Amino acid sequence: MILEGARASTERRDKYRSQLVILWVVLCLFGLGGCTATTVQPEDMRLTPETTAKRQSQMRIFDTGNEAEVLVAVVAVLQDIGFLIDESETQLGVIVGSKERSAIQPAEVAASYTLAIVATLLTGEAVDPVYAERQTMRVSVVTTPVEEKNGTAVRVNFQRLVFTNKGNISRKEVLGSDEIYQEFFAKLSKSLFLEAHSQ
Amino acid sequence: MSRARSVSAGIGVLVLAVLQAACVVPMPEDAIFEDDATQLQIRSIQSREYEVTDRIRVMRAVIATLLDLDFVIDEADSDLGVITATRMSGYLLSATVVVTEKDDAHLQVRARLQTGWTPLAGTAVYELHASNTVPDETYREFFNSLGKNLFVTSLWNPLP
Repeated sequence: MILEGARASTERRDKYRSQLVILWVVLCLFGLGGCTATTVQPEDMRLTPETTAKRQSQMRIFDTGNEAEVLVAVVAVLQDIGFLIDESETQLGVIVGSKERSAIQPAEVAASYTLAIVATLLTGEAVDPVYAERQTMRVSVVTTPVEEKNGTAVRVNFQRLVFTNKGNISRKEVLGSDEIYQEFFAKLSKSLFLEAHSQ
Repeated sequence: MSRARSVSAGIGVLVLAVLQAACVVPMPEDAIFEDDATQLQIRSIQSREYEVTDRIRVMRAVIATLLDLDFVIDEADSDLGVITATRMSGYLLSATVVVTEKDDAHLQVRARLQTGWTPLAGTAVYELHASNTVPDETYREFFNSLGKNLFVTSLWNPLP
């Protein structure tokens, strides 16, 4: 009687386990279907009409031919918004910055723990919760002299790496909506004004 | 009897330990020279010469092209002519581009692309496996884009 009960319990657990495997496969297939390519695509190195739109939203021309002054203003803005300067190259007009912040979202952590508990109960093996824990945001700002207009073009772009509580990368992406660029350039305009009037 | 058994067990463990020490498989060192292609082939795929003498102008064009292609610049050194950048759209792609003088009238641009890993990831294990090769076509597309930025378009104007 006890043996039969144990056998039934084992069969039930095996059944749950196979259902869980099927569920994972289905989820993985959905995940793959929704993702972009994960290997190098040569056409990603091609300039397209979308590049034009992207360049327009990432770039502004400021009415000053003094590129060094613009670079100083850029550094000040990056510091204002919490970035540390990693690299600067005046001759090429390049400033690179980064900042690290928490990526913990309570809803995701709660869902992750729930999933881990359910998976542990179903499989009989301890499953650790995995969730986004920290993120590194990076920015590069590049200036270019526009001699015809006696101005300086400034171009900015952002990206982000998100790490899990296990130390692996869970997300890597380009950041940048039109609003982000507009806000950045509004701050840069103000910074240039402040720099110009502080001397 | 039991003493003899424990002595023979001890000898067995010792023999196994010696065998294991002898069986440590050395890591192949040929990963240093991993590419099967010849040096000439590799250089011809990864390099282009341009009839320009202004190195800074070419480096600025390289930077603009990398930004157009969704890279974020990691480092730039105008003295050495080195630019490194990382792209994080879908997959990780790191680029190292070096601009050097070929002769009095030409500059050479050499690009090396690496996928699957970036120093920015720190100790995170990610995507580093043999299938992460960069197709030769990728370099052709990159140099075509650089050529357009260098000769066809103004870097601050929209593309035609």
